[in-house]
Amino acid sequence: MTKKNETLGYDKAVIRIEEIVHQMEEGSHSMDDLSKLVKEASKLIKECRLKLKMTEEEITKAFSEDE
Amino acid sequence: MQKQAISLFTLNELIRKTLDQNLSPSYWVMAEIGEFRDAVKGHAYLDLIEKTGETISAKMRANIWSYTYQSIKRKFESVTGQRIQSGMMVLALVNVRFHELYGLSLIIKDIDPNFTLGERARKRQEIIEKLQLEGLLDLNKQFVLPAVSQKVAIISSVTAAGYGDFINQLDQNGKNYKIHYRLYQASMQGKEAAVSIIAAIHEVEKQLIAEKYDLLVIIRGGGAQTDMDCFDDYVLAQTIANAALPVITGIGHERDESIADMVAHTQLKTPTAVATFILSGFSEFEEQLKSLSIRMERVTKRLLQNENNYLRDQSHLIRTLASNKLGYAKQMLDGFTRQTFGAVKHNLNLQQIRLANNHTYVRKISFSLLEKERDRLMQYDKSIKRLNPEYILTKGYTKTEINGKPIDLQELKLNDRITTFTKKQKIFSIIETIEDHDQKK
Repeated sequence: MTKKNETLGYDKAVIRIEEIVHQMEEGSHSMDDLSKLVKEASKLIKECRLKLKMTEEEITKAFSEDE
Repeated sequence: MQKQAISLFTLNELIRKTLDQNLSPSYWVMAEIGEFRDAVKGHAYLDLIEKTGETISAKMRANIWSYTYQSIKRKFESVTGQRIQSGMMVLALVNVRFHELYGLSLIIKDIDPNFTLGERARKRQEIIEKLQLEGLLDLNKQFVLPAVSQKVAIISSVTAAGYGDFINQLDQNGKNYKIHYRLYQASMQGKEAAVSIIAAIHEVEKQLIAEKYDLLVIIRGGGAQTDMDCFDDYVLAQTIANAALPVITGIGHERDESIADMVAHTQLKTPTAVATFILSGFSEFEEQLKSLSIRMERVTKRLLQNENNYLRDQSHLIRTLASNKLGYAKQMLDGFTRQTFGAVKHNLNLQQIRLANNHTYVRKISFSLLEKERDRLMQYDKSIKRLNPEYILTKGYTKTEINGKPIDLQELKLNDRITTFTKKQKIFSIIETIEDHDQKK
């Protein structure tokens, strides 16, 4: 699962996070499942944030090169 | 009856005496000279005749004694320009003489030259009138002389001084004009002259086509002024008038023109004058050629000049037109260039503005998208944290399951084994009772 996440793109990662949030809101999972889901979601959120930061830097760099 | 006879001499004597008694001492007699001969001692012996038509109707021997003859001859020749000769009409002062031995004869004491002159003039006039009537006087003049006469038939006598002068002048003309000539010999004086010249003219006509003569000249040098009668001959005049080519006469003489001169195409005084005349045709022609050549040169020059001017004008015109066209085209091009440059610049400005706008917009959108994503992630993060069971357990809540599933999702029965999770512990229990619980109560 973790390995698979590494290959996910931003959009798919976000879809997965939404899915996890939705599953957690349902409340039908066991404690163990929940813990795993939380861990996965937190990791995905962290990765997505990092990606956003990198994208921001790239955009800033790109526009500063233009000017 | 006895016949009374006298001697011949007595008879002749009787005749002489009778004549002497009955005839005047002298008579003026009109007669034609028949035979005529000069005797050695200076006397002249002749026949006087009278014709009725062509028949001799009267004839008498005559003589002029030497002393008288010399004076008559001198006077006659000076007045008439002619010698006393056979065929001539004369008015003679005669004595009738009868000699017992020599018979009847006339002694000519004087001859009136004025009568002969008048007689000849009358005869001449008759011929002229006849020629006039026959249309022969101007016939030969109808020929148009060639501009240049290079082939000339000459009728003359090779011994005549005039002939030598003539050909010398033609040959040594000083301008190298080449004139082809051929002499047709004829006797140019005396009784046979007319017949001889006529024969020569016929000879020339026979060879006319072969020789292609331009002219026939009849020439005779000055010489004696006495033998001019042959040139007044009717048949000669007729032959000259009818000649198949133009005839030019150069018969040296001082007196009035001869009839041959009158019927000729052109009459000139001397052979030299004829040569000069022929050569003048050459010079005139040469002058004409020169003049034409000069005119041609002038005209050609003028034409060339005109053409040059025309070409120069055209060239100038073309240059001007081309220059105008080029100028115009250049202006057009400059205009186009300016327009294009302006349009391009304008377009660039527009594009730059659009690009700048896009730039700003894209940047803004990009950051806005990023912001939105961050917000979204933050919301998810919050949701996750909120739903995290540890967060609930930390607050003192518990979570209970039967067989790994939340109890609120199952039908509970007594004695079911349940598992309860606290923050720190996992509690296993068995259900003893089940009661409804309503918090709102």
